[in-house]
Amino acid sequence: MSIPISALLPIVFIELILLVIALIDCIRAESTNGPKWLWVIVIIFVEILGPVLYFVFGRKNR
Amino acid sequence: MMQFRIVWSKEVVESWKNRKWIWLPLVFVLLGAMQPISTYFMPQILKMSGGLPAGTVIHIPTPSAGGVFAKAQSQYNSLGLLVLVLAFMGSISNERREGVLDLVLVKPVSHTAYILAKWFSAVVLTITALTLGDIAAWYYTVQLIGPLSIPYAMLSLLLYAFWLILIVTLTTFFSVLMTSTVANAFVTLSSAAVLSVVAAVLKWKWSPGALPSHASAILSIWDKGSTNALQSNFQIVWSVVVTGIVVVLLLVASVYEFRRKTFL
Repeated sequence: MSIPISALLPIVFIELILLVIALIDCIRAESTNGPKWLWVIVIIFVEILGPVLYFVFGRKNR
Repeated sequence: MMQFRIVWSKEVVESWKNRKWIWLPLVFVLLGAMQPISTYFMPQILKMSGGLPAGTVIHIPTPSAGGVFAKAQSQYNSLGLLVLVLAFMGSISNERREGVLDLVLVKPVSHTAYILAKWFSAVVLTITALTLGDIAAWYYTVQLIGPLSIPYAMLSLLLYAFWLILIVTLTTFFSVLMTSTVANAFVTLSSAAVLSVVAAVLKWKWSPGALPSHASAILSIWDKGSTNALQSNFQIVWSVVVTGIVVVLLLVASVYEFRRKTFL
C-alpha cells in the first residue's frame, strides 16, 4: 500500500500559514500581554492552539 | 438598517485587525481535515508507535465515509466550540471595558442595531469557518475513505450550523451579562455541555442539544443506504425550530439587558 504523503501537504501548509501569521503579528506588535519570547515559543511549539491562544490572549489592543 | 451598517462596518474592520477572519477558518479547516487523515493513517500510526506485542491481531473495521465525516464534525463540538467561544467571548464586554462602547453609542446607533450587528458578524464568520472546514473534511473523506453524498453532508452541515449559531448567541448573551470574558467562556461552554447531556439523558430529540447527534445520525443513514428514514424524522425539524426560538429569545434578552445596563 502506497501512502499518499502528498495528501498531507495542504494540511501542513495551512498549519504553517497559521503559525507564520501569528508569528509575524507577534513580532511586529509593540508589546504583548506577557513576555513576547514566551508567546513566540507557544506559537511555534503548541500545534494549532498556540496561534489561537496568542490571538485571543496575547494581543494588546492599541 | 443604516445604523446596523455603521456597527457592521466597524465590526468588519475590527475583526480584520484582530485577524479573526484568518485564524478561525484556518483552525476549522485543520480540525475538519485532521479526522479523515488520522483515520486513514491509523494502521501506520499503530505500526510506527510499535507498542503492540508480537502476535497481537488487531482488527480495525474499515471505517465508513459517513462515520468519518461525522467524527470530523464532532471535532467542532469539542475543540471547535472552545475556539469559537474564545473568539467571541469578549465581543461586547471588552468594548464596554475599553470605553469603545461609549464612543459607538454617542453616535445615533440604537442598542438593538448594535447587538444585532455584533451577533450577525459573529454568525457570518462562524458559518464561513464551519463551511470551509466541512469542505476540507468532505474532500479528505472522499479522497481517503470513500464516496460521500454531497446533499447528506450539506444537511449535516446545516444542522451543525444551527448548533453553532446557538453557541454564538449564548456567547453574545453572556457577553452582555458579564464583564469577565473568562467567566463568559466558562458559562457558555458549560451550558452547551448541559444542553447536550440533558438532551442525551432524557432523550429529548427536539432539544437544541440534540442537534449534533442529529447531524451524525443523518450521515449514518447515508452509510446504511436507507433514504426513507430521513423523511420520517420530524424530530430533526423540531430541534431546528426550537433552536430558532431559543436564539430569538436570547437575542431579545440580550438587547433588553444591554439597554438596561447602558445609561446613555
